[in-house]
Amino acid sequence: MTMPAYYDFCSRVKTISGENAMEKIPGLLKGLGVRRPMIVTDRGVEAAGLIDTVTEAIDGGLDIGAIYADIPVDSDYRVVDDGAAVYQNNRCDAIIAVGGGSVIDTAKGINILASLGGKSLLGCQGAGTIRRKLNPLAVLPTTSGTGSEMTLVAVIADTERQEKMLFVSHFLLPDLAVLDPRLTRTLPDFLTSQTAMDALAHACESYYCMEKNPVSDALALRAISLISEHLLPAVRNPAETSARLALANASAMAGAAFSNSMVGLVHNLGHVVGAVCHVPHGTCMSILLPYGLEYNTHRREKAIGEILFSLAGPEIYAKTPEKARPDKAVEQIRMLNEDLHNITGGKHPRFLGEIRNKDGTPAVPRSALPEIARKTMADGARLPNPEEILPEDALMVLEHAWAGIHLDRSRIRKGA
Amino acid sequence: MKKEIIGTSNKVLEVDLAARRFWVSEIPVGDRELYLGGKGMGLKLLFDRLKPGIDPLGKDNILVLTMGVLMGTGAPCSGRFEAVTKSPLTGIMVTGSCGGPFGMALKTSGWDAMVIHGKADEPVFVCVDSGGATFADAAGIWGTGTAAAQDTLLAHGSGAMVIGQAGENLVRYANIRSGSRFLGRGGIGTVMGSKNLKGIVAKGREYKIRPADKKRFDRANKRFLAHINNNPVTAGSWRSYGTNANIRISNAAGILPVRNFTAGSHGQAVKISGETMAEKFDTRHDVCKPCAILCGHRGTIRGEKRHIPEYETVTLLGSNLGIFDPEIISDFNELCAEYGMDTISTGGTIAWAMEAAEKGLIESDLRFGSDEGIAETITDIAFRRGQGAMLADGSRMASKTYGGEDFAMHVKGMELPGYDPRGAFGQGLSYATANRGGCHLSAYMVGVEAMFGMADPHALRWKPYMVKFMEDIFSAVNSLHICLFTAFAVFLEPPLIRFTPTFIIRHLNQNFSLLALNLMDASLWPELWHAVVGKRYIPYLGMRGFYKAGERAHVLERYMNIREGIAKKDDTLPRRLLDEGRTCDHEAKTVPLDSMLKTYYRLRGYDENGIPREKTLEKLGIGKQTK
Amino acid sequence: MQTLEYEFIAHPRILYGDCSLEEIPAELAENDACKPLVIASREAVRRKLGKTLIRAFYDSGCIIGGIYDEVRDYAGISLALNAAQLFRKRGCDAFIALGDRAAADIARAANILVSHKTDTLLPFFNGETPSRRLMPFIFVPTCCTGASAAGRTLFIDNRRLHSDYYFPDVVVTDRRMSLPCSARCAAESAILAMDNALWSIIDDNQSPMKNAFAHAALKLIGDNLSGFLKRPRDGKRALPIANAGVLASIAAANARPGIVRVLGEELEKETSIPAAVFIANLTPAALFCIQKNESPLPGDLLLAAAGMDAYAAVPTEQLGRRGAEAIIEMFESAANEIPEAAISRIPAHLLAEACNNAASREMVNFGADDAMAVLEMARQEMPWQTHDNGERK
Repeated sequence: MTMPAYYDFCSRVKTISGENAMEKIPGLLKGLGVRRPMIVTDRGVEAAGLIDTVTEAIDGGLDIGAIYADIPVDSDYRVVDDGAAVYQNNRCDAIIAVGGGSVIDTAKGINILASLGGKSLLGCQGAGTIRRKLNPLAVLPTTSGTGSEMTLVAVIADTERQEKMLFVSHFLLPDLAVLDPRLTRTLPDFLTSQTAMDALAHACESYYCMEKNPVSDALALRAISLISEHLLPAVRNPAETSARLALANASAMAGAAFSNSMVGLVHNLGHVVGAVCHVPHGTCMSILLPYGLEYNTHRREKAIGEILFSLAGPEIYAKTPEKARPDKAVEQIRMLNEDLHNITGGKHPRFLGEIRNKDGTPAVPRSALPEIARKTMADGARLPNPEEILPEDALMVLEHAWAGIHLDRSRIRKGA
Repeated sequence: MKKEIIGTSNKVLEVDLAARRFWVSEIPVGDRELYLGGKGMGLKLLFDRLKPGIDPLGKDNILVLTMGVLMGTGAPCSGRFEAVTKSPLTGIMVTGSCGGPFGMALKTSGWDAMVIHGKADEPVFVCVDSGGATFADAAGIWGTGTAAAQDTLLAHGSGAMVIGQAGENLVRYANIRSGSRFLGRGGIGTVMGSKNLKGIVAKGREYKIRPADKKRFDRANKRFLAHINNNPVTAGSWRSYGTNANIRISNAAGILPVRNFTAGSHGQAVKISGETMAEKFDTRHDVCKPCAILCGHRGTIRGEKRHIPEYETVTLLGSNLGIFDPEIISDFNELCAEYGMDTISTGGTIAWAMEAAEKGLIESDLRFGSDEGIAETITDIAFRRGQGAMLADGSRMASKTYGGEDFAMHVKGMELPGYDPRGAFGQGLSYATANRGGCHLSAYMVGVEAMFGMADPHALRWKPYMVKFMEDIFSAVNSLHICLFTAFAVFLEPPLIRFTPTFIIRHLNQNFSLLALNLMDASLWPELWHAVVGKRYIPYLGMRGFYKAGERAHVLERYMNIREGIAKKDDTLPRRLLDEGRTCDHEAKTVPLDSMLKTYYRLRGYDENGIPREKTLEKLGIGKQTK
Repeated sequence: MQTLEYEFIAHPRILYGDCSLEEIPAELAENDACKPLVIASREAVRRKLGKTLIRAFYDSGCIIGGIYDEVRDYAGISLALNAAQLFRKRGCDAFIALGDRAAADIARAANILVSHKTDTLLPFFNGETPSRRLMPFIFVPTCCTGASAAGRTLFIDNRRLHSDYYFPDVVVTDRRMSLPCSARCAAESAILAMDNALWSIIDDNQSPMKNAFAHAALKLIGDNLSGFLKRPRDGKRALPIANAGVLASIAAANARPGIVRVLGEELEKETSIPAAVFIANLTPAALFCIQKNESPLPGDLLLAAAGMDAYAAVPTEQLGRRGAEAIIEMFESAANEIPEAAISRIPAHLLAEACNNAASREMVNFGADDAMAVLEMARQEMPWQTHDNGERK
């Protein structure tokens, strides 16, 4: 392990995992001085009956102040303001967020406003606004992928100004992350696969990106082996509780890893593809991940070779000569995508050209690639990538990913 | 006509409580020469019998009682006997000296020593006469205080030693009473309690002890008496006021422990001084027999005839708790005497409890300066009731569980007596190195440093030499066995010291210590010993041999402690003395122990970890079986 | 199959490496604090580390409210009360502990006192939990940290209080601070860190997060140990080891305390020989005992200690044994600097008492018999060294 000359690591989320993890929530929240939490969620989660499961699990232990389920898919600051008003009107003193990335971000926003006071989140912008502990926030992720339960970022859209407000503070790390397989029970197979691949991308990228450190490495490797071991069983058989719990764990660990080591090419391109073509984040991740590894192999040969160990197990690792390990890792990921494609009946796409909108048209037309490549320059994930990415490089990678062919190594520009 | 013993009988009465039988063994001839008697002999007897690493409260522990060589000869202040065992308080050897009548009774029943093995199934007491030991059921007196128990036992003989309720209840610092004197420290009474042994009574007056060389003995004895009667301490202040004559001196020198050793003097100290008490309580002598110093006193307190508390009691149950009313202190003293508990350890432990309560480590209403609850606490300790159970284990164990180790004033588990070494650094070293733990009688450096001004209390040079010298001497004196207080007379009365101005002695001590110490004339003691056992006394060599015997006893005890796990780590002082300065000092002073300790080890022939080197042991002949 | 039933928290933000000291003012600012009270250990004062810390504050808007330098090797309430008094008098708003475990514990205790505006810890000894809003607490370990300083335990006056709020908010490992003071200290810190990591991995709660921390720690030690023991004050080796100590203590804070650690602490209480001495000497024996009872040792040990390549080359059924061997080898190399714990010289009744006390400690999952078995094993392993058992004839 190369020890970086400097690193910092912070992931101060209390994680509870287990098949009865939710039953522990009342005790732990009481330990945080909580009496009246508000549950924040979206209609989808509510419709799936998860809120009933949650309230049932924490029943009796806590007095639920309010349930705020009005979070739309494209949440923005006004939703946050609304939520905070509900919170204050019901004299709540903590938030339990049940949902995916969007719900969790919104809940973080509500927590900022509710804890610091004020009418609108617009008043809380600016660096250094959040300088003290916020009210307790418990997060119950219903997808195993985003890792938002372990991140210190909240992104809230400001639709009027067409921009995204970014809040970064260690106080935005939730107090509690609850990983309970009952929460992901209702997730369809193709979403399970996509979100898990998202987590895999987090883990792999954190293992080779610039700010990797011993802690993020250890977390990432464990996340990778959990995913490689449990993803196919979980997709094949959604009732398999232990596999889903393992994926939830992997997602949380990958989240903790990448939020401390940053991410690179895969996320860089993935963010822009998602934004331009409205493709789900997880889909982009699963397609682009092999290219991320290939693109950076010459810089991180050892690290990417080590990914193979977690991905394929010690036997295959031992059998593969050291030089061939990175390629073998890439191959393993491609195989995984292929398997997922087959199991989900094609709902898990293997390359960009294969992604279809609901109406069956290609979601990512080849003509969009140059625009995507241009826009990658503005994305924050460009910098931590080990090898520099310029628009032409991005385009080159995107073309390969669009067609679903291996990256032509000779076309990678190896910077000094 | 009584039978006579010339010199020493060398007979040891060995008793097994479990089997209720006894047998007689002999003190090897060589051992008499090497270990004299008293403490040295007791340690040797124990060393030959005790397995290391046993539980001091278990059946394997052994209690050894040894009589002095001078006892019964009529030498002044020789009415003392020694007890040696493994201490339940410290887990290492403990030796104790007592001036009660039991010693004389045992010795005049023809026994030089008694060794107690095993554990009785049921409470017993032992009656000893010249024929041996008999065992009697003690159920009737089990649970009684020391006074009543002693009265019962005295029906069977002329001298008894008994434990009170504290010993029965295994309070780790329970003591043994004989007459109105106590085998005070280190829980020797607890060992008796653990053996279900309520007391021992000896018939006595069966033999007459005669020195082998009566003529020389009388000559030396005369000089000895003259010295004692001339010395301003032995014949002056201590004869008039007892050990409490030290209170004023300690207060002035800033070594009086106040409020758990947070201060070194107090404005009200005069209220508890010997002078005040003598006047207030109309005191009379009440002493060990035979005695020429007459330091023990008795007086009328609260309308009763009571023994006047000694200096250590007055400081530890008085000033150290912030209490300056001698009547109240006497109340505590009486309680401790009745239950049979060491007043120093009781006081030290209660002081710890007060500070722990003040700082929120334990819940208690005990507070410095208030006598409220102290008497109840003493009783609770004796019966191990409530919080008393925790305090009955002493300040070391209590602080290991409840915290406050930084202000638990003990060394090796034994609570410190009434001299604060931040006003006398040499005393600090001697506390740290004393074999039985926090003990002032291993080397009475405060005497040199603070009382007679013969050395600078805060100087470090030569202090290790003085401590070693004094430890050897004291160890030898306790092996004679004679009262340590005679040291004042023996050392200060020979002409060389007497007529040299103090400032010169101080100068010599401080700068030419080796010379000064070698000029000290302690020949009286060895002369007496030689006269009793009938050996030829060669003036200078006899004295060196005497010192050597003291050193041998001291190192043997150290060696036995090493086998129990003692090492440099234990030769330390409470953190308060090492780290915290006192406001009463002009400049905050703490005891610079480490540098003194290093030199001390070198002088003693220990390695840097405080363990006696092979060579040292060999040189002193320790470990060899002498037959 | 792992069971994923667990709770885990790694509260401290870990700052490691060059210039991490200079980050402290920013960390304080982020916590809305600007006037920390520094609680410095004796060793830190002796090495003038307080001055280094002050220099790191030169380019910031923060000022140091005071340096409390009375801390010695014992963490007692008296010191915490004094520190809290100084904190109030100077109007401070954060704690920086600079030094060893005692400094950290005094800071924790003083933090409770000032945050709860009280003068006694008695309610907390009696089970009350501290509030969530304690003052920010930054810990800069120097040396002799006892390897539990970054954990969730407040060890004061021989009592152990546990709470997530006792974690430091930030732990700073900086080359200027975190080098060992002596070869012995170096060996001890490596041993204690290994002990923490080892028993966190062996712990029956198989939380992958805890294992990740323990794994990272063990790997750092495995990579750097031999060089570190040769040259303890070489920052290239010493700093990763110090960092491993922090990670291991976080892992250990989420696991049950290991049998050797608990036993070592109890034996220290009985004999005043430092716990590290016992830990160094007892660990091989304890691992032997586990193997003798045929309980499987996790293969993770080998993976962390020896790396992927070595792990992959070993057949599955041998993973546990080989892992134990690798660990024992690491312990033995470090134990060279540490004196033998001559177990046979400790009175038997003290050993028994230590075993009983160890078994009755909170959260432990072994009995007095298990502890005794380890001691027996160690006694066989370690022949009489310095002195015979007193039977000198």
